[in-house]
Amino acid sequence: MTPTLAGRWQTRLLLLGTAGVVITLLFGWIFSDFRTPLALLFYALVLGFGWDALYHLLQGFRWDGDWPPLFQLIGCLVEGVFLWILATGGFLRDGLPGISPYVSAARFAVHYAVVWTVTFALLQGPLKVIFPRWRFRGGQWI
Amino acid sequence: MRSKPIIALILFALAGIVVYFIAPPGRGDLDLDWMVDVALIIFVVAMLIWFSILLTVNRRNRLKPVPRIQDDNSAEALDFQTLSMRYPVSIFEERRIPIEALEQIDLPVDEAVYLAIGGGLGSFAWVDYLRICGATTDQIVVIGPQSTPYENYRWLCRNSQLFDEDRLRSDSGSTPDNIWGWPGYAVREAWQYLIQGQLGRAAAIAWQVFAEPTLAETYTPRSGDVFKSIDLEAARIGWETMLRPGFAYRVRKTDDDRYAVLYAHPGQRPRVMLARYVHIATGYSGMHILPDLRQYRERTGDTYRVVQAYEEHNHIYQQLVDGGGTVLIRGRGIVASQIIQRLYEARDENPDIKILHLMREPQVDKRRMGRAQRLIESHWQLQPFNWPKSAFGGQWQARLAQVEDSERAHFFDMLGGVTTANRRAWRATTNTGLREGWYQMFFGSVMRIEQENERVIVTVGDKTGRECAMFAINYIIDATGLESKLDDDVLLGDLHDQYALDLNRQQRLSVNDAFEIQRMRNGAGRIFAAGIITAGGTYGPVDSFSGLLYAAQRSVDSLTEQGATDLHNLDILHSVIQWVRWCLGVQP
Ligand SMILES: Cc1cc2nc3c(=O)[nH]c(=O)nc-3n(C[C@H](O)[C@H](O)[C@H](O)COP(=O)(O)OP(=O)(O)OC[C@H]3O[C@@H](n4cnc5c(N)ncnc54)[C@H](O)[C@@H]3O)c2cc1C
Repeated sequence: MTPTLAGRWQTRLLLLGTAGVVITLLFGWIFSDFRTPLALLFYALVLGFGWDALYHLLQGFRWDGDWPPLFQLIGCLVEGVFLWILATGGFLRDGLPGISPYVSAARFAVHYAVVWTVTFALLQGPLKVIFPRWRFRGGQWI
Repeated sequence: MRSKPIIALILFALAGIVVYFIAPPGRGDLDLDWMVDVALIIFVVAMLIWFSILLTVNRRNRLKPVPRIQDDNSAEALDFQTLSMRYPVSIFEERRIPIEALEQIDLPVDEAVYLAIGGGLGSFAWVDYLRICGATTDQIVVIGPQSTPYENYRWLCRNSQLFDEDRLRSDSGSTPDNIWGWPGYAVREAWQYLIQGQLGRAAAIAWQVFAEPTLAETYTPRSGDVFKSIDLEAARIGWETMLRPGFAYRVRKTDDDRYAVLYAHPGQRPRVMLARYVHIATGYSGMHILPDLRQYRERTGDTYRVVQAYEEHNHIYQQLVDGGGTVLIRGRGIVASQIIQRLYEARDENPDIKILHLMREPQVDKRRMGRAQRLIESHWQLQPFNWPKSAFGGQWQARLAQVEDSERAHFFDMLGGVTTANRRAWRATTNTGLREGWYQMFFGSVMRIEQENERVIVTVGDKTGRECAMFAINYIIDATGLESKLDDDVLLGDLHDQYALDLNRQQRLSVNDAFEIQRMRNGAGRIFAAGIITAGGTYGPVDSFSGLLYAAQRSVDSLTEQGATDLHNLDILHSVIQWVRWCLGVQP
């Protein structure tokens, strides 16, 4: 299956809203700070909608209109670095609201990597089982 | 052998422990150890789930298909004229048959709820979906001449030099044996390598599906693996018990919201099958032969030197290996590629084999759609599948569904035209052949073909119609494809005449979004169609595994919505349960 823009948005919402939230809560419990991981997840989602639009544009240059897993991995890295810089004040002076000033890059990296890996694994197969029509609808499930 | 998965698991756990120890130590105030612990646990759990899924799939692969019906296919199917002279079938001249009238004629009448006509891969996808949505084997009947769903398909593949160990042209997730498309053939094949201890090959497949088509060649399954998987699914859903060997001649509306189908097994008395929901997937109606070659064959009766690629033509390769010679190829699609590959292999045994590829015109201008363009190399249009990947589901699919009818022809021409697969080996063969001179391309149109002793003389003209070249060759292979004209088809031609069916721009059956032939509605009765017979509508790749699965899904979903007998919606819960049953290899 290859995504449409609406499909990208819906799939991102679905994955981050379910598996993403569960994993984030787990990390919140470990870090004894729920607010920062949840805020990060929220920003990943919102910024992601923007990234999706960009990916969609780039996808238009591909004859097959596809988006190989390799590109997803590259996207994940770029998004992650961007999110980290934005959240901790690399672009804005104070960073984004809801992010603790003590958040460490290691914590962020582990949290982000686990969320991405699990959602990526879901995307490769289990999602097709849960939503048998999803792959024929460009990734839309609603 | 059986312990290999366990060894793999242990290796995986060891790898986890290594990662644990080389992971960066905590920065004092941070509880990094904790995080690494949890991350590892999550990884290991996720991997365990994957492995257990794979193990079940593996278990499924060890199931044995039931033995096949041994069918006597030696007798030829009668044409309708002969049939109507021998048997009382005149009632099928009418457009609407009263149900009582059927009881009076002297033909056996049976009943079903769901009836699939064709018995090929299109029928199989539909029946599989129906079974998974709750229909039972005694509610479903399949009428078709083949004993397995892929018999006709495999016959066409083999004739066009695609054998069981060769790779097809669809992606890993185009799984005729699995309506979910997962696990795909790539995972299954990689798994097979893994348990045989061939880690390198398993990793190569994983890399392929990860990076295709940009950094790796597109993964496509081996045809033999696909056939085996279909055997298993056929056994699981009880295909044999639903199959009535035979050929369908007529479909008629009845006065009780059903359809009466007249069918016959060669050499036997015709029968009638009544059903409320009918699905037609009769595939291609014949082979396409270029007019000049057809005329030559009719004039000379020479079907030995001039063949269609889908005809049995192994004698050509045998003769070439024995005595060498020149082959002229027409057509630029994947079958032409396959044949060139086959000839290239034959050159190992006899280097005195030459290939002349005749095309009407050079291919140099790239096809463009929006911001994208298609690859061309050495006058071959290259594309992984017969349609761009997103036409199966994604951007192009959505666009094609939306565009105006008048614009659609352009889309079909651009996206669906003649292409071949972008394979490194094939491109290398072409380039080597061109360099070494045993493969040559010539552009022009055929003016004359004549027989001369052991050879065929082909005269070619240029654009202005002037003779410009003459070739003496040994064989001509026409690789321009198969025919799918509605009126050539016994069943559909009649249906079209009788019920004035709507046709699409390509003069094939017009179907709605649920793949229903709307003109054939009969109260609650419905007729659906799938495959090449519907090509030209709002969904491009109808003649592909994926397209057949899509058509099955849309049509069965519409039946479920309508409240058809015993069907339930494939919602999340049902879908997951049914998928687990698929993994375990137990009936739906
Ligand atoms: C050589 C070749 C390679 C292909 N490779 C791929 C690939 O790699 N990937 C992919 O996704 N797609 C591929 N396709 C396309 C597509 O998947 C196949 O064509 C597929 O077999 C289509 O299924 P079908 O049910 O429409 O036709 P078929 O499988 O051909 O089945 C139709 C059956 O209906 C029977 N029939 C006809 N008339 C009647 C009648 N009146 N009554 C009863 N039965 C009737 C026919 O005898 C035939 O057995 C390929 C096609 C060809 C020809």
